Amino acid sequence: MNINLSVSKADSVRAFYLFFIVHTIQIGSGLMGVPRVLFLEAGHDAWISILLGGLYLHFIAWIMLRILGHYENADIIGIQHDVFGNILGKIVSSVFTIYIFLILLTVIKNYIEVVQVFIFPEIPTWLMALFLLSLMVYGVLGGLRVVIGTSFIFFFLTIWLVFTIYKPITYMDVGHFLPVFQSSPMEILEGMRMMTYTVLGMEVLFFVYPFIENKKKAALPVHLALVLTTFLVLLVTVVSIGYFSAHQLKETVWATLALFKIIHFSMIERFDFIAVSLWMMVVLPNIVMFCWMLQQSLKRLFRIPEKKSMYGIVVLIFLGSILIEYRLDINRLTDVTSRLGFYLVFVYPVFLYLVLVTRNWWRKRRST
Amino acid sequence: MRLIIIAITTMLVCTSCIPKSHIEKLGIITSVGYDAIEDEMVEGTLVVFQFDPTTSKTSQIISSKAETSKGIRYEANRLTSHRLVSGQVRLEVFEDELAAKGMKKYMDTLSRDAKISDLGYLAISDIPTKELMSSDQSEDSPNIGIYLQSLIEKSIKNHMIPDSVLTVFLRDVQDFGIDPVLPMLSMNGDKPYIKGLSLFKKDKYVSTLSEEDIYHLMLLRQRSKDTEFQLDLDSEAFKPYYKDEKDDVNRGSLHVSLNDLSNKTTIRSVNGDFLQQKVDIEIEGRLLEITKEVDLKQPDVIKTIENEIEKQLKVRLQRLMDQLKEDGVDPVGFGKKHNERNRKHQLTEEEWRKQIPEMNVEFNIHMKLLRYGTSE
Amino acid sequence: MNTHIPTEKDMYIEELKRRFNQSPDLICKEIQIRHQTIVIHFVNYQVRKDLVERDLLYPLTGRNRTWSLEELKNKIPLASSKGTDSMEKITKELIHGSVSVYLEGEQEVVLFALPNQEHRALNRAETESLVFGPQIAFTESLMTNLNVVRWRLDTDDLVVEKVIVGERIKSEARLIYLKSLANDTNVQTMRQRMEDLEVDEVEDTSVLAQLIEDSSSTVFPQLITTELPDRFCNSISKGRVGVLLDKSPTSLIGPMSLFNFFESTEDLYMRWNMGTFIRILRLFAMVLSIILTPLYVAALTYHYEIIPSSLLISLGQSRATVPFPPVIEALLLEMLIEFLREAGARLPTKVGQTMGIVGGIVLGQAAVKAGFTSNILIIIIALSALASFTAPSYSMGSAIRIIRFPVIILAGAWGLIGIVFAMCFLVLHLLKLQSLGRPYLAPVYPLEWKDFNDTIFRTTPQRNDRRPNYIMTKDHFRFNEKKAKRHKDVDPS
Repeated sequence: MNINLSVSKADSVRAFYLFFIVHTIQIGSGLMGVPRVLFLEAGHDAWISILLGGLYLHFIAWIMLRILGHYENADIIGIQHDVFGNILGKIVSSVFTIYIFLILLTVIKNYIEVVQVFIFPEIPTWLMALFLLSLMVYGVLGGLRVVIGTSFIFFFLTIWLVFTIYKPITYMDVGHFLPVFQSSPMEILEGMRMMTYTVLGMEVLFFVYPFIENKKKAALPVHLALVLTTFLVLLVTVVSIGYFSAHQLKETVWATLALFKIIHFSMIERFDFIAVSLWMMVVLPNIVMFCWMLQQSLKRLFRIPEKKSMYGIVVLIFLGSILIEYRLDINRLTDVTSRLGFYLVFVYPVFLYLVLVTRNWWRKRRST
Repeated sequence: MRLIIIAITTMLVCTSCIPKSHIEKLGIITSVGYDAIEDEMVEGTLVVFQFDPTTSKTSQIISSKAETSKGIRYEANRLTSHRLVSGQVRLEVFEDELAAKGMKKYMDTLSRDAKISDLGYLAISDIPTKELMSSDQSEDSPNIGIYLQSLIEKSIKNHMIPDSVLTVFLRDVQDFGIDPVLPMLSMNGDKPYIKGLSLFKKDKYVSTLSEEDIYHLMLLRQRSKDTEFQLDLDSEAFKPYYKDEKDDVNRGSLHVSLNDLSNKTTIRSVNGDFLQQKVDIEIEGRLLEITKEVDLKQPDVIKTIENEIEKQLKVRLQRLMDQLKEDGVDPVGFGKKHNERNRKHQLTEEEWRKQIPEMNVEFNIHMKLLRYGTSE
Repeated sequence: MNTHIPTEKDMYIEELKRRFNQSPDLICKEIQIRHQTIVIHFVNYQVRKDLVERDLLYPLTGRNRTWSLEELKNKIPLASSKGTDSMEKITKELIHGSVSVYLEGEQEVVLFALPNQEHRALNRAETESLVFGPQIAFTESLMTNLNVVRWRLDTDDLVVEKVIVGERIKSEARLIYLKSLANDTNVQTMRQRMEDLEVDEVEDTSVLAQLIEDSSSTVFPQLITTELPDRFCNSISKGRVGVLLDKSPTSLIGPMSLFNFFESTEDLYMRWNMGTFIRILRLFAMVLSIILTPLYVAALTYHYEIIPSSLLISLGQSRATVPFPPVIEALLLEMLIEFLREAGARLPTKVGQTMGIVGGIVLGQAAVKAGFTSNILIIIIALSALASFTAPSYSMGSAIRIIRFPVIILAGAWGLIGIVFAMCFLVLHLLKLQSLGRPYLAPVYPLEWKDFNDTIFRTTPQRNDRRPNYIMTKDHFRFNEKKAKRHKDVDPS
């Protein structure tokens, strides 16, 4: 297997698209429920967890870019192959692939669940799955250009939703944040871990990096994307904590979406219906990107042609989304995935970087 | 490409899976009234939009009895050809007797059902809601439900009563250290109006605050803008400032009305002791009307009016506090403020409740009259 | 294949007659000058007979002398004369309006082109009407069109390449671009696609456009067909590639992006702020046109919650009498509008106007009165139909009208989810489209912020100093902005 990918100039994209790629893949179905998850762990001091978590995100991004910078034009699969050798590298890469598959499944599953709760309790799961999957297939078939275009365009089609949140802000009770620093450091750290769950997806860097045209400029857009992501998570969490009572927030599964319930315009009485449907546009770049990553890694790992692997993925996801019926199972799946994701995305890169550095150091010593 | 077309068409074939709700076949509930009747049962009165091309009447009123609010809808569904839906409910009125038993069991469905809007208002009525909803005095509104809703909405917008939107109520019920309040509706002859403010102990209705005291409570509760109120002042203090002492107008008490008021209120527990509360209120406003011929050009006259208002307000606020203490409720949120500010002496729910009647509140009011109209 | 010319006079005449299927229109004239026999052939209505007499027959017979081939080619005062030795060539040229002169015994025939083409004169533009700005439109004659283009683009930089399209019935097309601007790949793509065409016949530029477009399954046009010379020339001078086809009154321009279909040359002639406003208005109209009716259907079929309570009564009351579900109602009315449009287009102008009034007012009124549709839907449908007609490109307007139908059906089937699904699909589709290999959604994606000027909005002409980047012109700058901004006042001295 080639460690480095050869990418023609026509296939590569400008570095500034990394902003949209990284941001849209982080914001997905996680954002819908993040206030409650954080509140359960860190209480009304959750915002501290988010700020700390945001800092950690930057650290990880820096590590990732350092790892990628060691190579000329490699993706994670090539790097693991290089670092761990053929067999072990393949095993680790397979774990990565399974994780991406699981996260793709959870994203789809969670969105379907939301639609069923908020808009159509009667809409069959398989139908919604078919909707999302057909869009996914259509997008991914267009290749990387369309995949990145999806995150770019849909970012602008949905980012305005942030501005509608001004209405819940007027209902906020600032007293809910007082007194500050009531949670113990352990709780804050736990909240931090929970925050990283919802912003999984940064690993896209590992896959898309070889396709970046001007790699030297890659760091800025990535970090800006992380700033925006952290800001959004912070915003919805802070507003939710102020808006809901502690008791309510503990019971509201999708607090972010519940915030939309208070918004109304003269032409639209209930904005939450619009928001939940539009959330499909938030989720779509997610699934398209993850599917592309899956495709790419299957191609690199086992030489499965892109189309074949995609149809395989579609069938598996479809079956998966039909077979998982209970909300409890979805929660368990989400839990497992995010735990796996946490170790793979937020712990493992540090380890990989240390291995890489020691190896280089060892080699240097031996050669002199 | 072809695959997608096939997928879409097969999906289309299966459309019948989703039940449709065409609006002309729905009975859209706009407001609901709940009354207590014997045996733990509740009678619900639903004001429903339903569209009948043959008459110009678009709403009708349906009553049914059941144990839960969903049960009422279910029962009522048997009384009409339209399917009753609750996605447009904007007002829920509870009879005081029912509210006194606790509203928790009705709250649950309100917060669990995603179809129900958070924008709806809650209110209490001291007459059976069935009577209230049967009133045909709805001015230009299409039905009595919408009328009541716009009545409450207007009052909230004009700062005549505190916000009684569903979410605010739910939040206040569940937050520590504060009791919720809701508008109290009643009938004046056959026309509904807002009689006062109902006080709650957590989710249970306790007593009613008179219309006059609403402003005082709002003064304590929140920072607000653009409010107005009237006061009777002691006329003795103004003797030196009368333009013409012998004028008939100058007999009896002196009445002022103020508007454009904005206030800033801070509540503190003295030395972290919940029982010793200190309330600072700063009010700025405009003198709109004064019933006596007072010479406003004289120095100190404004000062005197301010002082008199402060004095009067203090008396009134004390009176309000007495009532609150007597009822054992804390709609101001003394407990909440206390726990927010004091890290050491955190109260528990029980301690707070127990200590409310023993609270000692000291008011410190600072009134500023910035403007006084076109004439001096 | 190359059949030699018979040296026998009679055989030659017979051969030509056979090739023309004994057509009575083939005029054959034999002239005997001294001992030499000259045979002249032409197709009756294809040549200008007055010119044949004055410029050919008169010099030929006037001096009573014999002619050699060389003399024939050089001494007859006609601009185009050429000799040929192939019967096929003679047949072809005769059809195109040449006169053939045959000297008995010679191996060659001399052809003189004196074509008589019947075509209309330059006229006002009909389909793409402008409020102000140049008003002439292309005609069916390639030569006239080329003449207009040359007149407007007065530079030696202009390249006019000849390409023949069609296998059986050949048409002459011209590839037109500016050498110093047009991207070579764009020109090559266009040229190659035209040359590689394997079709019987190309009827019109719009057909040519369909044949050479990147994606033929989509409803979106990817190349602009226009009948306005000013629009054509404006695009050429921006660095695009244009095609003119003989016998077709429209021209073809590429590569194009989606947003180009919403601009009219009129925007240029208006002040920049007005132009910007109108452009954004058109884009807004497109979105509105696609989304309005489906929203109505979705709200009334599934989401009564999102209807404002003040609208609820009037909507409900007007819906109460309608016997069918909102989807059918909306589809029926959309149909009605399409019928009206189609009938109006087919009928003569005067009758068409009456049709519009009858259909629009009488039918609409009656439908509402009869409880056939709700009056609010009438407003919505009329609004979205109106909005779809704002697109300056007729084919784009039709595309938008077509898209509406599936979206309405989706809205009727799955409400808001269906609409959002359709929108997602549409965006993905637009992302995938290309025009001559250039992205269709440019300059939005790939983002070229500087190209927003003159695609989505306009700035002052002094600042409009760039050519669009996404068509990869050889020279991005139209002029030096700094110099252009200076006001040329008379110096006070």
